[in-house]
Amino acid sequence: MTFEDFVRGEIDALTRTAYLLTGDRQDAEDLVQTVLARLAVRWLRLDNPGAYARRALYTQSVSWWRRRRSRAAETLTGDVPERAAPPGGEPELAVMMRRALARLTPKQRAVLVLRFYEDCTEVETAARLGVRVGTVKSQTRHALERLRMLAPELTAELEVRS
Amino acid sequence: MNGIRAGLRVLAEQAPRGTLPDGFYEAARARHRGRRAAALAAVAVLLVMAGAGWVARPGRDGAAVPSQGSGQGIATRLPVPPWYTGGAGKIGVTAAIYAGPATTNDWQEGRFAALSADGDRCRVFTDAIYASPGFEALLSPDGTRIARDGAVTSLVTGRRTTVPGEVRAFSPDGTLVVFQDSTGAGVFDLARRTVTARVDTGDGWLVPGFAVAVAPGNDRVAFMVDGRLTVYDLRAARPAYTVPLDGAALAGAGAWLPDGSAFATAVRTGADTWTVVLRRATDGAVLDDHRLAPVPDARYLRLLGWRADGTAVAVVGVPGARTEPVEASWREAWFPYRDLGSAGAKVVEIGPGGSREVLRTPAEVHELDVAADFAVAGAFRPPGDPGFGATSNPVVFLGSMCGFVAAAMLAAAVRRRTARPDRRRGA
Repeated sequence: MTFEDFVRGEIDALTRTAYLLTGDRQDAEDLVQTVLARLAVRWLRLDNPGAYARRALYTQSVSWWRRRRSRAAETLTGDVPERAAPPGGEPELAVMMRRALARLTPKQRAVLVLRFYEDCTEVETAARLGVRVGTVKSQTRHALERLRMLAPELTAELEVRS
Repeated sequence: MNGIRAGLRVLAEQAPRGTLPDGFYEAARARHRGRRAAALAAVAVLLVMAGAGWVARPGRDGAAVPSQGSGQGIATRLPVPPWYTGGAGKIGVTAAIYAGPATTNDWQEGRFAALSADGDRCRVFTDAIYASPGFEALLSPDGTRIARDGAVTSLVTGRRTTVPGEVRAFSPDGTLVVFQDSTGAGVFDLARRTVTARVDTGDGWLVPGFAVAVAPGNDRVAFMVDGRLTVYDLRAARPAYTVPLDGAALAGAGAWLPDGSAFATAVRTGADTWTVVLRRATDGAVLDDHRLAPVPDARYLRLLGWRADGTAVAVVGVPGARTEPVEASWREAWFPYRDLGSAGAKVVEIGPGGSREVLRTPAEVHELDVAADFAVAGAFRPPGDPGFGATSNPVVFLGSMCGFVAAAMLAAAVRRRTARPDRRRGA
């Protein structure tokens, strides 16, 4: 398999995960490009590029968050941006979900994405994040508690839907 | 949890389509190669800068070495070198070397100090194995060379001359050294770099600091082995005579009178008291009419030389506060200067009427050697403000370099962090 084949097959999935991790379309694209650049450098030496790319996605997202903590998260402007609603259904739920994820720490966000979006087991999640299973359990519990506390509207919405 | 799962899937559907620019793979690898080359170049530049900085550092050894002349002498107060003191290397003409707990530490057990004859430059030798100044580390009479660890090293040029044994004494003119090796003793000519004489000392031990004295004119050597003193005729290449010392000791490298007519022995005449006794050069007989005043408060006595008026100049060991009087075992002692329990050292002038102290080591400095020519000439001077050559200390230099590199890295990190959002957003 060539690098181009790998990218063709995986880039959309990687971008979706990156979007969940960053909560920002541009940051998601940047994150994916950073990860793929690292992958390109190591391409000839890797046995399982998919695993490397996914692991790098999570570690890089945490690392980016650390680096960007001190930056202003938003640019204030007097003009309302004229922008079409993003594709995909149920915009209200998506907005609530994005806001809720933004209130979590990057590790908590990563655990939730792995456990509930990628359907990884606790063991797989621990292996991908390079932490112990106990850490995954505690981070998951804390993340859910935090969601209930910080975003009760989302919890109510999700309970209604489920 | 199905709700969370559903929420995440809805949100993920809003993610943009992933795209990559053309030639991304090659561009990423090329960028990586460029960064790696830049990092290697940065390391190379740092190494070159470090090397150039070390060579051109201010206060570099030898950069301020004066020629020997007036204004030089032995400072009457010896500074204790702090940890950041630079290496002695080419310190220049040296007035004194000294050591003790104040100059050593757990990491540098062989560290000892050197003080220049002018300018009060204080530097250190950091040998792996301790060589006691005055005993195993010897300063040449003119202060331009130091003998230790089987070699004589110029303190002006840094040139090192290997000697086939451990140096026990310089000749008064500094051109010869007497050494001891496993086969006996020998005389080594420093200019010609060759052994000029071999002296059979049997299995005897030449006690460092005391047991050898070369006569003026370099024609005879007096040495003490197993409590007996032998005068060896270097021109005839045979011993002239051997006499028992009856508990006395040869009084060090400066034992010979300047005219070569007699040499001195040191006799213990009381607890911590030594008396210089002259012996005739031709047969070793005691010259009773040439006694100097006893030197009290001395654990040992080592002569540096004689003045024209008959005054002797010596280094003597200062007794420790609680040391018990002990008999010196010149025959067997490996480190008689330590076994004798000296807690310091001083330079004294000894005349017929008494002795006068001209220099004393600071606290916790036990061992001392001085340039005999300065001491005999009475070239003692008030101490100045000592300089310790911190920039030639490798630890200080490396610390400065690391600090510089860390500051450069920090500045680069801050610059990257502040510049990146603009570049990224502007892209």
